[in-house]
Amino acid sequence: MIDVDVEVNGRRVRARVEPRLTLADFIRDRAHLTGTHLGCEHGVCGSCTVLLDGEAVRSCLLFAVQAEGSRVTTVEALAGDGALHPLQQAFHRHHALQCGYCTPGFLMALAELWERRNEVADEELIAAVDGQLCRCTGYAGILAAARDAFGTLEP
Amino acid sequence: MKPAPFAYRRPESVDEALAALAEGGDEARVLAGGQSLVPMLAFRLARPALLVDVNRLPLDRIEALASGEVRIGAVVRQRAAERAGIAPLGEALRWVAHPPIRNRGTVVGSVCHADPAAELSALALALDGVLEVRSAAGAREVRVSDLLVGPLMTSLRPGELAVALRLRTRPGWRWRVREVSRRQGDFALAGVVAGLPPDGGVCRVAVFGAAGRPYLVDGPAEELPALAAAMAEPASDVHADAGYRRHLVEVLMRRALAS
Repeated sequence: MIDVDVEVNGRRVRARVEPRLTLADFIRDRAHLTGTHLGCEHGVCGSCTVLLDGEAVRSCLLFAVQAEGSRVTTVEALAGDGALHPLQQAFHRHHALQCGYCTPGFLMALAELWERRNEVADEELIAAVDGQLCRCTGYAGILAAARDAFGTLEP
Repeated sequence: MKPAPFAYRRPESVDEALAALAEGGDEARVLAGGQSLVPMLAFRLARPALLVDVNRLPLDRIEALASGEVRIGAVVRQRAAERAGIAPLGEALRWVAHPPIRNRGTVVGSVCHADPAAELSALALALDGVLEVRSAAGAREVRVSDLLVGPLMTSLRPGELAVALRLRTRPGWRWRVREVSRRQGDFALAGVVAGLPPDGGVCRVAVFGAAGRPYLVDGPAEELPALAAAMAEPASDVHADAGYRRHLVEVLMRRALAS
């Protein structure tokens, strides 16, 4: 067992864990933030995408012990002050979710780009969503929401 | 799907890592980006007793060497390599998986994983790649052509750690990567890395996804597509049969050389 100390959404989370505990399970079961979803648990679906020190990563492909001393941001942080994040508002406007299971992953893959939103090219938005699997909504609404939020939507 | 239990070490120095790997012997595995290894652990296709996490080692630099080679440290992320302004690397990396995978995955780790359909293994082969390898017993260099033995098989020995990969980018050459996969970011059904010399003479290509390991073909542009297809030993599986993969090699090669 190893002690880990990770900052999750600005809160320090300390736990004693087995090395094999994934960061995804740490977030859900130890930090009690269940917005991060597990679909495939082998890096294919992207539902568990979170930011690690600002970069989008698959939290099922990292062990919690590897995040020692790092800053993790999950979907719960997007609407931190109660109002929906502009990305979430755009998803709402464009019906970019149906069952919603994959949505946290899509949002976090796009959230990686948010800091430099004025210079994000349309190809980057496509690349950000093409690694995320959605099986019910379809990508048209999701891409429209992303383009709207980032201002690359055709008028 | 959860990995089986393992012991975990996170060394801060290369010597410390080598000591841990020596201790673990053939029950130890190096954990770099983990984007291939962790799924194998999750499926329990790999059950190492010890993981040596090299992510905190000071091996995260890309350097241009006086020899004309580029040296890529063991924990340089694919995303960093993509942005380093080295044309053939940027060209190959845009085909590799997806941004969140490339944020963690390493260039050296992908080559050492030896997936026969990996773009980076083929690129390393085409660019005369040399792997710098260390172990508690000493240091050696392994050419990528000797490294890749078969599917997921390399000539690295237990206790060894690849610390860097050197590539010769051949100034003036143009490099093209072409592949066909079922979905963007999937492993390719077949693909080619094609190098075109400034004088339009002998081209160099590496083919991936069409045999148990990537292979090289050198020759004039007009002869290469047929030659490369003839050398293919593709597998048939649920995604594509051998004949289709062989056909792809010829077509992709023609397109790469014409572009």
